Amino acid sequence: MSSTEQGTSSAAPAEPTTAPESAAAPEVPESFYYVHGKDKVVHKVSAGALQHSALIHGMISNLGYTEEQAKANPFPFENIDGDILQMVVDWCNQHKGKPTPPEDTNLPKQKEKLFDLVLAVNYLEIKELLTYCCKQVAMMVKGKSPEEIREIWMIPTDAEDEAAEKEAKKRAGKEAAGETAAAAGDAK
Amino acid sequence: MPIRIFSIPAADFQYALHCMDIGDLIAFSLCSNRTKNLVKSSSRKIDPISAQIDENTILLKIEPNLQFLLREDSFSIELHRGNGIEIWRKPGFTQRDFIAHFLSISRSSIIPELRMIELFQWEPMKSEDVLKGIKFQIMDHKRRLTRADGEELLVTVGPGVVVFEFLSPQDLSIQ
Repeated sequence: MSSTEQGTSSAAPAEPTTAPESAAAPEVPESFYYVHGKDKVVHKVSAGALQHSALIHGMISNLGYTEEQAKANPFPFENIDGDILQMVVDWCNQHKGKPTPPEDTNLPKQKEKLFDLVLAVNYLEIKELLTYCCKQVAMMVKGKSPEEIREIWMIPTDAEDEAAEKEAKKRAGKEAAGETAAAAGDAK
Repeated sequence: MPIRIFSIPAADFQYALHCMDIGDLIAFSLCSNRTKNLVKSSSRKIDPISAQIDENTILLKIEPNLQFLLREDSFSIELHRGNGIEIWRKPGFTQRDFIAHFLSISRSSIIPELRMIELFQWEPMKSEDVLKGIKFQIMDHKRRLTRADGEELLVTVGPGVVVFEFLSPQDLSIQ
């Protein structure tokens, strides 16, 4: 995790780092919450930064955690890779309380990271970041031919789609037959 | 490393489509039937195409800087979008299929403007001269064409411009 005044990472809930002192410090001390991903590394994030995530913001509002409770119970996001959650936390910290710029050049350029980021951001309901990510996804195929797009986005051919559809129908048929047989067995 | 685009949530994918320019969207639509249907059902509006026929080639214009040239002897289209000429190949796709595809993704059954270079003589046209596979002959010299199968096409004639209204995009598909 990049060093920011709002957060830190560790294998266990981390001790709050000292917030920077400044003349314009808010009167009310800022609350901090903790999140971890698949790698169990805990990230400490301010409530202000987490406001970007509608999901986490909703969880905070509903749970009414005190800071101590929040520290003891980090929000678990087991479906999100640690490095992806790190990116999300960094983005939230960088854009805390700021108007979001029309473009964000700090998003990952690696395709696989970008797609994982889209899934994570969609799950966490971070609308602005999702918008940037989707734009980045669209930029991947800018100026490309259909063959190149098919390769970049792994688009199945018509024949592959038809084969997958047949396979799905066959599987559904087998499942339905299995359920019927089970129901008949129960009836006996 | 390639990535499965269909693994991202549908709404996000639709937003990505929304961010693409029309040329990229058309390229995407040509990837498969599924991608064609996705473009067709998306909220993106593709302007109606205009066509210009010159002997064996058909030039489809989507936007001033987006033109596709269809040749009768290849399963490909030439794309002109300001960065030189690109060739997109689509095995098995004829001129008719490409036109049907463009009509389909623009959700239109009409080519609003059709210009025919050096064919604008009111005399019986041979099917091979205009839009391969669609057989028609001029019934009168004004506003009505009839295809060889008896179905009528509506046509509007203007100065140097003929507008054909096909019954549906399927009229252009392979029988």
